[in-house]
Amino acid sequence: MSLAKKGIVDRIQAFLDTRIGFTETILRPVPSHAMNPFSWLGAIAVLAFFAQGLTGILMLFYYIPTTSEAYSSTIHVIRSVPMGSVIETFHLYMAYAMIIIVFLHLMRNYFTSVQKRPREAMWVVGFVMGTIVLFQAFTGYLLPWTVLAKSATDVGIGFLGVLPPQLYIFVKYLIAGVGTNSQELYRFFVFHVVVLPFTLLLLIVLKLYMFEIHGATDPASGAKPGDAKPVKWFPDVLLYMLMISGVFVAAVVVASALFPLQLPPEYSANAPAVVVQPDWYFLWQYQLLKFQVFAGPGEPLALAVITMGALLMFFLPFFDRKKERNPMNRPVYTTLGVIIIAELVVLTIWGYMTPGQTIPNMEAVGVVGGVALVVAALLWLTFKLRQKMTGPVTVEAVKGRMRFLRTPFTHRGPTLVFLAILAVASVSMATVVGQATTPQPDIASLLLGLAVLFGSLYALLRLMRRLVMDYQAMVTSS
Amino acid sequence: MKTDSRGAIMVLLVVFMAVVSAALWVFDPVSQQAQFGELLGAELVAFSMLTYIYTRDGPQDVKEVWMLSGGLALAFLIGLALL
Repeated sequence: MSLAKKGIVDRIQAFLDTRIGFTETILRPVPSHAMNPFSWLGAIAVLAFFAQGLTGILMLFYYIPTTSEAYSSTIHVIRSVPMGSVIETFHLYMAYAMIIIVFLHLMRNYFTSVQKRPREAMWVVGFVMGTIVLFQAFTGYLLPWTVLAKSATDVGIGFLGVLPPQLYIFVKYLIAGVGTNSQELYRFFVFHVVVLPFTLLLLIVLKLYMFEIHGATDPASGAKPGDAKPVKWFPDVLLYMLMISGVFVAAVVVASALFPLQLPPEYSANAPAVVVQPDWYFLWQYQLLKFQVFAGPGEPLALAVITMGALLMFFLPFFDRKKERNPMNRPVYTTLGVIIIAELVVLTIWGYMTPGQTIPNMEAVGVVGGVALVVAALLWLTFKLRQKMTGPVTVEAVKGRMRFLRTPFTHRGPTLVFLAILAVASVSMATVVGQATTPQPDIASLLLGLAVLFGSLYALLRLMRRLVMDYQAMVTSS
Repeated sequence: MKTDSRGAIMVLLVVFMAVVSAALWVFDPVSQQAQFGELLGAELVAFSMLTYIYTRDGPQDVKEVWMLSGGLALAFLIGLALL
C-alpha cells in the first residue's frame, strides 16, 4: 500500500477540501499512461520559467541597466553577493535547460502528433511560447554588456535589414531605440524583464486552460488506455512533479556550483575586435548564414529559408490532417522530424567548430545532404522492418528480422545499403570533424566519423528493438 | 526490496536533509558558493528520493537502481562539498 494514501497528506487534503474544495476545483486527473517524464516536459519548462523569474528578481536587486554599470554590477553579483555566482550561473544554465526542454517538448509533440484536432490551438500557442523563450534568451544575452554579447546582438539586429524599409525602421526603433548603446541596452532590459516574461506568463495560463479542456492525449501507438484509474492531481501528480522537479533543479544547481559563469571582457568602443559568434542555441542559424551561397547578397535567402521552416512548423496542424498518430505509421513526418533534429545538432556543432569561416557550397551540400541521406536511409530500413511485421509478431519473429541487421554482410541487399550509408556518413562526419583541426579531413577524423557512425547504428538498433516491442505490445493489447 | 524498509529509509533521508540544512549555515555564502550549491543539490536529490519512496504502492515497487543512483549522487555531492 502506498504511503501516500494515509497520514499527513490525507489530513492536509481534508483540511483544504473542507475550507476551499481543493480537490474539486484543482487541475483534472491524469491518465496513468501519462505518468512519465516525457509527458511532463511542458510542466518542467513552466517550472524553469518560474525558477528564472525567481533568480531574475534576485539579480534585479543588484543589476543596473546602464552601459557604464551593467558589467560592473554583474561582476559585483558574481563576486560579492552571497550566493551571487551560483544564482547568476543558475539563471544562465536554467535558460539553457529551458531551451532544451522546450525543444524536446516540441519534438515529442511533433512525433506523437498531439497537435491534431482538437489541439491545433495548443500547438500554435506553444510554438509562439517557444519563440518567446528564444527571444528571452537573445535579450538576456546582451544584459551583462560583454564584448561577445554586444557584437553578436548587433549582428542579430543587422539581420532585420532584410525587412521592407519602413518595417525595418519601426522594428529596429522598437527593440533598439534610436541607435545609441544605452537605449539598446535599456530596451533589451525592458523586453527581458517585463514584456516577454509577462507575455509568456499569459500564454502559460492560456495553454494550461486549453490543457484542462482537452486533457492528456491517448497513447500515440493507438493502444487504448484501458480501465486504469486516472491519477488524481492531489497528491499523486503533485508529488510526482515535485520528484521530477527536485532532480531537475538539483542537476542545474550542481552544474552552476561546479562550472560557474566566467564573464567575457566588458564591451567598450575601444574593445579589441572579436570573432562574432552567437550563443549555442542560435549556432545552427549562424552556420547556415556562413554557407557561401547565403553570404552577402544571399543573406535574405537564408533568412527566408529559416522563416519558411518556422512557418511550416507553425501551421503543421492545419495541413497534417490525417488521424494517424503512431510515428511508425507516419514515415514521411517521422523521417522529416529526425532529419530536423540531426541537422540542428550537426549545424550547431559545426558552427561551434568553425567560427568566422565561410563554408564552401560543395562542403555545405555534402554535410547537410549527407546527414539527411543517412537519416533517411536508416529510417527507411526501420520502416521496412516495421512493414515486415504484418504477420503474427512474436519475439522469435522479431529476432529473426533483426538478425540481418546484426550481420549485414551475409545478405547482399542490406550490405550494399549499409556500405552506402557508411560511405556517406563517414565523409560527412569526417568533413565536420576535420574542420576543427585541418582544412582537409584526415585519417583520424575519418576514424572518428566511423566510430560515431557505429555508435549511432548501435543506438538505432536498440531503438528499433524497442519500437518493435512496443508494436508487439500494442497488437497484443488490441 | 523484499522487506518494507521504506519507513526507515525515509526517516534516514529526513535526518540527512536536516543535517545538510544545518550544515548550510556553516559555509560562507560568498567564498564557499560551490560547496553551498553542492549541498543544496544534495538536499534536492534527497527530497526527490523521499518523494519517490513515499509514492510507491509497495516495497516491491521501489526500484533498487533508482535508490542506488540517488545514494551515489548524494555521496558524490557530499564528497565534493567536503573536499
